[in-house]
Amino acid sequence: MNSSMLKYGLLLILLPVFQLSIFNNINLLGYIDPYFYIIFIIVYPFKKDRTSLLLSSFLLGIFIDLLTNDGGIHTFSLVFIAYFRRIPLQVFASKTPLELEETSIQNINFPVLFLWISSLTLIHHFLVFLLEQFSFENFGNLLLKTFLSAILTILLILFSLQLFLTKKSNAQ
Amino acid sequence: MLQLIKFFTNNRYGLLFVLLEFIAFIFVLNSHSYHYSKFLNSANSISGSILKTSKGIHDYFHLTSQNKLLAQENELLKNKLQKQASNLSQKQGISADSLLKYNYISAQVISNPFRKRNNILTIDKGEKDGIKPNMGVVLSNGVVGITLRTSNHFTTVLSLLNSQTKINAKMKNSPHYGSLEWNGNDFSSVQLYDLPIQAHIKVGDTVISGGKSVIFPEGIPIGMIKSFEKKNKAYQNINIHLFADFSALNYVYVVQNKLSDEQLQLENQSQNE
Repeated sequence: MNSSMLKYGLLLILLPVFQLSIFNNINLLGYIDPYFYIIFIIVYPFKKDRTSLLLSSFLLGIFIDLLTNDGGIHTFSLVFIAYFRRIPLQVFASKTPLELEETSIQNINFPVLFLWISSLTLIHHFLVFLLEQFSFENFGNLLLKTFLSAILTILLILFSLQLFLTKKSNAQ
Repeated sequence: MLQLIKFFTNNRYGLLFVLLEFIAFIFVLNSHSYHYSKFLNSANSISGSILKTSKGIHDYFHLTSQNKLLAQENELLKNKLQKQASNLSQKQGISADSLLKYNYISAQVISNPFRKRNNILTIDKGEKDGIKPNMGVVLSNGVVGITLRTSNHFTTVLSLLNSQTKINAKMKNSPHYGSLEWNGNDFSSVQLYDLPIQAHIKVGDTVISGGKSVIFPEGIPIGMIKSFEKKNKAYQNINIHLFADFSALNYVYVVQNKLSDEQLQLENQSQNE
């Protein structure tokens, strides 16, 4: 319990630093903005109590907002997908909430994992960009930005999950 | 009563969600109001020092190009100084006060977003260096923005690339004024509004800062006209190509107007009469 608390506490501090120093400096086509920090919602275990997930994603969001001067945009979007993160998985993997408690992301097969991560990323990025411009003007542009940025985020998350998961199975 | 308690304990997870989202949404609303973000802004020492370290690492790889830029700017300023000195000796009548109206504080940009709709920069100088809110931030070849919030060592700057920024500007070769705003599409060009039809403009004309406000000195080159349309006897869609590259801001100058209090006070008095 203590070591996992330490692990996710460390993530809370490291993810904003990575986001700021690496991912905010990626400049492709002028407006692709990957938000890698949402990997927190993906790797947070299902059997942990949900209150701690909500509170820690709120904290993570606040850290990101503080560093990027974005008001509460990231906090709002991150808490939103933290609350609803089980629903896409229940739909794609057709599992009951009880079965989900026993699942870890290592056990989810790749197509389902891909769909799950993609849907969460798309929802999150759409909320971030919508709240940022705070109006529905240039809606096509908004959708394009959401879509392109989400592709990069999804690739980055899948890549790092690959690294993280293979390392873990070697250790066992 | 018992049922009420039962309702709260059964739905405490949902209620916590609503509460957290409510707090976050207040932060969002706050950031879209005129005086930016009272709660979450990077003009504080923790965010400031993280931004500064990350900027330091980034800088190390761009030393050569930055040196070149600084050398060019030095040259330009030296030339200006010489001209100013020779002008001064010719016009003895002008008091030195009005020539030394502005003071420049150099600062480094440590956080430089430019891809969002509303961009806010962070610079590494603050109150201890004499920076206050509502001061202009400029380059030798452009206007960067207006200071927003200050802490002891850091300041946030409302960038020109922000929906809330409006900057007074005029044409270099005619005395007509307009206001610069950004439509959010391309960070290398801004739009000029409210330019009267009497101004004769053509593609390639230079736009400079207007000097109608106390924030910016007059005559800083900003950009040149890239394209415009004429409809119903009014100019529309005047696109200005910026001279400054907003994707690579590094050293900027904060403008301290020594006479701003005096001017504002006088303007207020005149309005009240």
